[in-house]
Amino acid sequence: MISIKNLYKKFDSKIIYEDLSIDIEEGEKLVIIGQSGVGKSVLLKHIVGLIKPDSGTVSIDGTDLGKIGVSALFRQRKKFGFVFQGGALFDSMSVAENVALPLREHTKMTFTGAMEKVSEKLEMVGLKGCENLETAELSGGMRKRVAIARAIIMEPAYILYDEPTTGLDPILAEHINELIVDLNARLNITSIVVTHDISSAYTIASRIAMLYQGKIIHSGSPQDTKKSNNPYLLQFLQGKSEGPIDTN
Amino acid sequence: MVKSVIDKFYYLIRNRIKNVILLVNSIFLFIIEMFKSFEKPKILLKLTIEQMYLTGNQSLPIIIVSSAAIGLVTTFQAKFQGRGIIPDIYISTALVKATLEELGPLLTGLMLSGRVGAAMAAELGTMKVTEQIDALSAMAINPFRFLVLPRFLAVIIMAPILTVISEASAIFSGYLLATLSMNILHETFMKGMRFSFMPIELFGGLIKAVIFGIIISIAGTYTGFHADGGAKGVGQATTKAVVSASVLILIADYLVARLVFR
Repeated sequence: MISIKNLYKKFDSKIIYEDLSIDIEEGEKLVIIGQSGVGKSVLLKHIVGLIKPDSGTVSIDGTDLGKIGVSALFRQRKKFGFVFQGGALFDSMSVAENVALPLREHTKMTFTGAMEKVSEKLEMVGLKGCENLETAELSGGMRKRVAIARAIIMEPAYILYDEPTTGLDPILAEHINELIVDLNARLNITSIVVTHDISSAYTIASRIAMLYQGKIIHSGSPQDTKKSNNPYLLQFLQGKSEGPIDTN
Repeated sequence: MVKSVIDKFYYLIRNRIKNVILLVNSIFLFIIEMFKSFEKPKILLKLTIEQMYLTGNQSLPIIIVSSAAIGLVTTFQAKFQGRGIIPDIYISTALVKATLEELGPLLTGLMLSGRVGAAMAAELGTMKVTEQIDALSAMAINPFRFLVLPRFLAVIIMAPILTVISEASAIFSGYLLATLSMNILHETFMKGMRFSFMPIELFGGLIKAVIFGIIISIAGTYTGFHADGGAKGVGQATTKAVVSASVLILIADYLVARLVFR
């Protein structure tokens, strides 16, 4: 379980979080929605300890990340897979090398064993036979899927997706959404997805939370979200330029 | 009016000093973080050997060519400035002394800074702005151990090796010029080389090379790790890496010369 309590964060004079609290239960598919620049990706980086809060706590399975040393933090990070917005694949490595990297670093698996596992994960994301491609040869959708394969190679308990469908055509975006739901069920992973794509949110989520002005202003099932009368949520879901949301 | 100008000047100087102190502190912490990241020696060795190969591969041709050119110029100038008054035996003496003490390490340092330091800053800067460094951290892989330490070790190992190659290249080109077109006998050239050779000159040059290697690798990795703002940020990081390393190399060259060649 991930528990974020009373989180405060400021970048220079800009307040990102102001007393933000949210709990994420095991097996959940939590989708965090909100405008661009509202701090959705930064929240994912807080969860894996890449960014430290100014105050408040981020706890993973009862361990407060602020109270542990670097090696303990690295142990906590092994519980996570992180799919970055642009994929963050290593340009100097092939697809197989990218996906195998966590295995090479954290296990004593043989080369053959690692390659078998890489092939298995690439097959799960629909990229069977792409092991020897260079990252420069990949399309946007393939990059996202390789990044997902890399994120699940260690069979983590949690997987964090940062805008997994941004920049993809609607058909490919739907493929990625289905893949996220499928992996959640097959691997029993807790998924946290950050997006501003409402259609993706409805496809993926077991719960939708909306981040606005440093706080979670809505949290509920997709059905609850559709029925909600929260004016901020309504404006965001309907994509209207006029309403209570400050667009400046 | 005068008071206002003095106040502004004071404010500017104070801010500059504060920024320099913050930068030095940040570089110091970066170096400590790099040393603290030492673990998994087998993987580190593999990554270091990869970086040593890249360092040599990227810079060897340019170092050989530029050192050969410097050897030719030094030999030609030694002969020309002597104008027949200075005996030929001193031509190779001047060449060897200048090469071992100054030109070899300095030229290698500056070439490595422009070739390898710039490549490091650009590569790591690109990795930073495309979140590849964050991705390593998120995968519980220490980026200092994976990216910084191997580059640091590779450059401080390769810098002395490349310096020796540079010195050999400069002396050989000078030898060819002297014996083939200046009518200096092979025996005269060799005698002049041995005449005043002191091992401390070679040793001092290699110490310089190691110090230059430290400067180049820290400048390249630090600026790359602190790049931000997309392509522009990567460009700025690359420029900073080359300019800062070059200036520091020239300063260090003088300081080491004062310490070693008393």
